[in-house]
Amino acid sequence: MTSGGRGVTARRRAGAALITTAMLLLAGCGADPGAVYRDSAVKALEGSLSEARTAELAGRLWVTGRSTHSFAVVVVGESDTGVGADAAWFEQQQPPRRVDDAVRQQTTDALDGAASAVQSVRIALDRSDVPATRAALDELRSACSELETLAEAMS
Amino acid sequence: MKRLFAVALGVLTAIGGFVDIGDLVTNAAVGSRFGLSLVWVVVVGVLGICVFAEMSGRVAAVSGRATFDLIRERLGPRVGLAALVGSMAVTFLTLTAEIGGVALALELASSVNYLLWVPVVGVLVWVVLWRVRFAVLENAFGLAGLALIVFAVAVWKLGPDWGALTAEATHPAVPATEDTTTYWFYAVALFGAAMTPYEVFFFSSGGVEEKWGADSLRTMRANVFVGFPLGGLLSVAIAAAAAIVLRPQGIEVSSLGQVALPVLAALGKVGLVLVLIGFFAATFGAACETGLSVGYSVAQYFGWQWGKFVEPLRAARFHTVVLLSCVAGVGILLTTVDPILVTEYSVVFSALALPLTYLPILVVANDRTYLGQHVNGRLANLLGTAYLVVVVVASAAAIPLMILTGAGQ
Amino acid sequence: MTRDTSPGRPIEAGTPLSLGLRLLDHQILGREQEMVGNVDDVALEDRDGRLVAVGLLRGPGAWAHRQPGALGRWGRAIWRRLDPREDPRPLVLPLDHVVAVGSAVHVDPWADSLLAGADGLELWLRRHVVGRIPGARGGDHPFGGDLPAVPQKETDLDLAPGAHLLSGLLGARVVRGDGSDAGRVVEVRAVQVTEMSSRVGPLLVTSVVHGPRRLGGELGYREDPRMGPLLLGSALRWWHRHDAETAWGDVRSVDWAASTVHLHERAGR
Repeated sequence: MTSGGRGVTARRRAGAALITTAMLLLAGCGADPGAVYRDSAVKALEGSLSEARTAELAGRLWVTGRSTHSFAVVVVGESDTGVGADAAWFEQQQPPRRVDDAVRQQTTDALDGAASAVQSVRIALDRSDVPATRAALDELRSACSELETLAEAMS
Repeated sequence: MKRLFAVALGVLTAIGGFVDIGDLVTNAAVGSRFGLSLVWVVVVGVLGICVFAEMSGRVAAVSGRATFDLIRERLGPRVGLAALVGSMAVTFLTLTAEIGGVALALELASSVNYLLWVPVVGVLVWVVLWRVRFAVLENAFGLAGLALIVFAVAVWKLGPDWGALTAEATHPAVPATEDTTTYWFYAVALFGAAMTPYEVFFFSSGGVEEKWGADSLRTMRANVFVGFPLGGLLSVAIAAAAAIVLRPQGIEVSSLGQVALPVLAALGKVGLVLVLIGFFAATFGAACETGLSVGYSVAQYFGWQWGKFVEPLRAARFHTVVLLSCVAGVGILLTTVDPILVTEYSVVFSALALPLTYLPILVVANDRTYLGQHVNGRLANLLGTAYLVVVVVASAAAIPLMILTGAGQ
Repeated sequence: MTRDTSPGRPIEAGTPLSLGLRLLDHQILGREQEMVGNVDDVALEDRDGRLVAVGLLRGPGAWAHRQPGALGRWGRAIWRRLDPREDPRPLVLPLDHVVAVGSAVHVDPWADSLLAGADGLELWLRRHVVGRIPGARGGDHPFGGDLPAVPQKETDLDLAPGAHLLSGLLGARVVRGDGSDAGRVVEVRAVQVTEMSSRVGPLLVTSVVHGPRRLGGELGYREDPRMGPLLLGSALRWWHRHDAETAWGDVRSVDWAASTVHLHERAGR
């Protein structure tokens, strides 16, 4: 069972609202819109990375017998919601110029990859299917590295 | 021998009861983002709460006056009302966060959605406050909270690079991955988590509940000067565990499950059981304390009879306030607002509400009419004045930092 | 026995009592340390040109009077609505029933039961809310020991229409004989009219302390020059360095409606 839209995203949304207000006020001072967009891409990537790695850690703890099933299910469920929400949030951000479309494409691909990897882990975990979970976790690990590399490249 | 046992019980209860949902979440979040570079704030905060708890405890023991009584008396009914509204709001927010924390802990144990637990927890908290004797309440949850020592055990088991950790703690610097304003925002949040106003209300009112006298001063000081710092050490252990396991992975703590992950990584299922017991005890105990504290503040401001040391029908207004607070807290949580978000705001607003709460305590602790020979000595006054300055600075910085950093984004 | 006063010493003998600091807004306690309210105001009476504090006011009517603006009006309106009498006046507890003034104001058993019986909200909640919850206990009587089930109003204890309030005096402007401004009233000092050891009794106002600044005046630093902490105390004493204490004999008249105290020609600096 997953819980309501919690996680890094809820916090970041509230934070983003406050920062956007501050930024709008600064807009007159000539903040570079491309840089702002890139910043939000990095934010989304880092948020996703946090959620995805949490899911990976919880999943691995369960397959190695260091966690109960309920605990892992709750934590992975929360991460699933968080990753999805991060991707949805980023999608709503408007790329200011055509050159930023590439940034949008790369980021969205990475975010979607992570989201589906976390989902696979959640599904396998819900079924208590150990081999499937292991496979999904390996997939998740590579999705996480992608997120990390991309975030580092952009910041 | 019996005396020693009583002192030991008091100290252990103080250690286990020190940590609440604000400490759990804030310390883990700080550890996962800043490592141990903010440990100095925990030290400052713990020393501060020791100074003021001792003062308010001394006033309660010698003169029988609890803290909110003093606030109205020294600041007047108008400023006192402002202080009441402010600190009630913060304490009520904290109560809501604690009830949410209990529900989250139960969710982690059972995988039943936390929203289903929220009303159950609300009812349980109120029933405990209605029926269970004060001393039993304090001791039971305080001792059970000692399960959180599992964090310290986990840190030791994880076998980190001790040299690097101590270097980070003793030579604080803003990490490369974060910016300076966010660092200071979390400093204020951590300070607010350590020095929450309700702890002082609860501590002094609890002293009156337990009928402390001048002869209780030594035990009270043992609880404060031994118990609280050791409790602070638990906070540092929580931060360290997050720093060791979560930080290298880029995991930022924003849920209660993430706070527990390092313990599972180190100790497996045994660690999980202990950490969940610890979460439950810490948050449930704190929910009881904050529930009572809302009642204490209102009743003490208006002069109404308060306390669990009188029969419920003699303190109807007090019990009604407590009941309404539990109901309202549950109501807020059922709007599906994130309890962790409520927690994060409650610690920042705690920092905001500190000055008006601490000034009257410092003043009255020097009043010979109340304390006779037990007035503050030079050290208490030196520390008290220094902390008054720190508290005013933290309070002034809280809102600007919150806006500038988007609440720690 | 009370924790903070000694038997036979209802107030600090000899020295005048600072009404604002030591009486106003203090907890009222009964014989068994039960809490029966807060001193919301003090009633003052003109007796042959002297001003005497005669009683304590307690209750929402008196409390609301001390809140500024809309909050005060609103509070009073609610109180008048809820009080069953036609023209409710706040209850005044005569100072004859005050046994001692320490960190709290201690009253005798008669006053204790009077005040407990006048708590409309408490009694209503006891009966309709808390009393209905299983497990509610409060002594042998179903409504809490020997306390009355309905509020009792002793009309001869109501605030007399012409009576003055301490809250009206504190903060009043002080004008010297030559018309110059002497600040605002910060504190009012009074002594026992007749020295008694068993109770406080009416208090005769002996002097007012006034000065240009009101902030921090009620913290107690002026009273006790030794009171610490050092920095805070020195700062507040410096802030209040222009305060002056004028004997009540030098007060020509008090214009209660205009909140002004007029001093004689010869008074002031």
